Amino acid sequence: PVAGFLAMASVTDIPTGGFCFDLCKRNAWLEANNSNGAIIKKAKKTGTTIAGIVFKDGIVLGADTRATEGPIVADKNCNKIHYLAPNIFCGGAGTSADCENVTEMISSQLTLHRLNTGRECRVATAITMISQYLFRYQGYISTALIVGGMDCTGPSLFSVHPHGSVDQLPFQTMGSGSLCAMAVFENGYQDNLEQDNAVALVRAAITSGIENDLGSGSNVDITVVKAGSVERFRNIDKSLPKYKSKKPLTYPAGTTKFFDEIVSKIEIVEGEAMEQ
Amino acid sequence: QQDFFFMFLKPVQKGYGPEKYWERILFRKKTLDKLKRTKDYQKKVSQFTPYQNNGGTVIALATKNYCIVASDTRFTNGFAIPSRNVSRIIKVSSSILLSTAGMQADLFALQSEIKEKVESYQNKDEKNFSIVNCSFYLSSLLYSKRFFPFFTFNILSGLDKNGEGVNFSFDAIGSFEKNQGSCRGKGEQLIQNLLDSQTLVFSPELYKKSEQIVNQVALVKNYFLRAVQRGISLGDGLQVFILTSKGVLIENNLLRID
Repeated sequence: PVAGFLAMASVTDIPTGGFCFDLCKRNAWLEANNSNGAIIKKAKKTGTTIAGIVFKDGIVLGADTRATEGPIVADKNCNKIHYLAPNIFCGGAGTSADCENVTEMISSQLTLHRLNTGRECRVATAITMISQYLFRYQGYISTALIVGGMDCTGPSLFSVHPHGSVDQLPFQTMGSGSLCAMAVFENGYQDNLEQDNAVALVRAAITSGIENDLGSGSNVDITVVKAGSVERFRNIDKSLPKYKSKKPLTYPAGTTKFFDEIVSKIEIVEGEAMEQ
Repeated sequence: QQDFFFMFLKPVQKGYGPEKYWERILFRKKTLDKLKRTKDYQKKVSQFTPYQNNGGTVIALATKNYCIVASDTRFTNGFAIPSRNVSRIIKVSSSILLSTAGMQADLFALQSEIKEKVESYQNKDEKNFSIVNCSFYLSSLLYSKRFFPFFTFNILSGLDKNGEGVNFSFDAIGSFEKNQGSCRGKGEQLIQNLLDSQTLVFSPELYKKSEQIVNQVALVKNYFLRAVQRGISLGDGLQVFILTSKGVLIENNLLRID
């Protein structure tokens, strides 16, 4: 249980089990009685398009690379396809920090599981861990994931919603550009595609999300997971600007006026190292 | 036998007689109205808003004897893009350009009102409608809708009677200011400080180096190229209007479509 703002327990108290939603109540109270909006900061969201498809030999996952903070692009080339296990990868939409931390935590749990059992992880294991974790937080951890991987039962693709619900489907899309990408999938999906066709379909879906959704943009990332091999194509499709400026913006020395100048020498003295 | 019968009749309760019926109905209505006015209820019921921010960014520069107005051509509604090819600048008269960012419907309404006024003025008077007159007219037009404003952020730019470039930038309800260059719309925070750094007021040396039209147009295009990388609702196309005493030149360029 998280040490709550309102519930200051002393060290000698035996911790009670269950959920502690004190901070959620505090946030709701702050939002209701908020005179200046500076108190509540909006988390950086990815506003994404992620897509996954099952093909003959495995899984193709695709994602765009734009991270937004409201109406501004925070990161023009971020990585949205995260590593869970050598045979399992996942694409994450929603709040950036939540996606990164949840996937790293699950990845470390899976490594421990692998060492414990001595076998390759199954995708169902990862899904069980993720969905149980997200359900505990009742949707407050806002990550929507598409988890795909290859294990002893064959290729499998799952999607997890922020409240913890799980779907297993042959093709899935998530994020703000999910409708654009799903339209391309519905148009072009067939069972048992070849790898080249599957990669081309996912690229087309992500490109559709990039062009028609404001929250997605920049480049396309693709990851192909097959039995025994993983191919990662970072920035397989780059979006180039259409017009190059002939006269770049320059600010020559002396543009900013100054009134006073103080020049001081830095003396280097040999001495002992600082204490840790 | 009659006593036995009356035992099973329940006495009539006070609040259920006919004279109390209307009191109860009105009391329930009063509490319901009070409940509707509370903040929680209003949050639950979805409300219709008459405004939409359709995006768009507009830059206008006016100095010496020319005037440059540039706008992007993307029309957005939330996260969707209904149109990639929308014009935000109009020529009000031979020496005045009006550019607007904000809601497209209000933009059309405002533009048609201004055009009508200019035409009627020109039919009555021999002199042309000068830009200074136009700016005062636009200000009073916007303030006349103070309590249900046009969701528009305008810039009026052009050449005054002496042929010098003049730029007026407005807010939604009509307050305006004369300056050398300004930016309105969703990319305002991204571009305004770049514009300021090259104006006569803030850095005269830089301004004098790039005084010519060609340099200024290249600068404006640069600002858009930079802003489009960081603003999600900017992009698709760039329309540049260059107004001099000889006439108006319109340039159409392409920007990123993502």
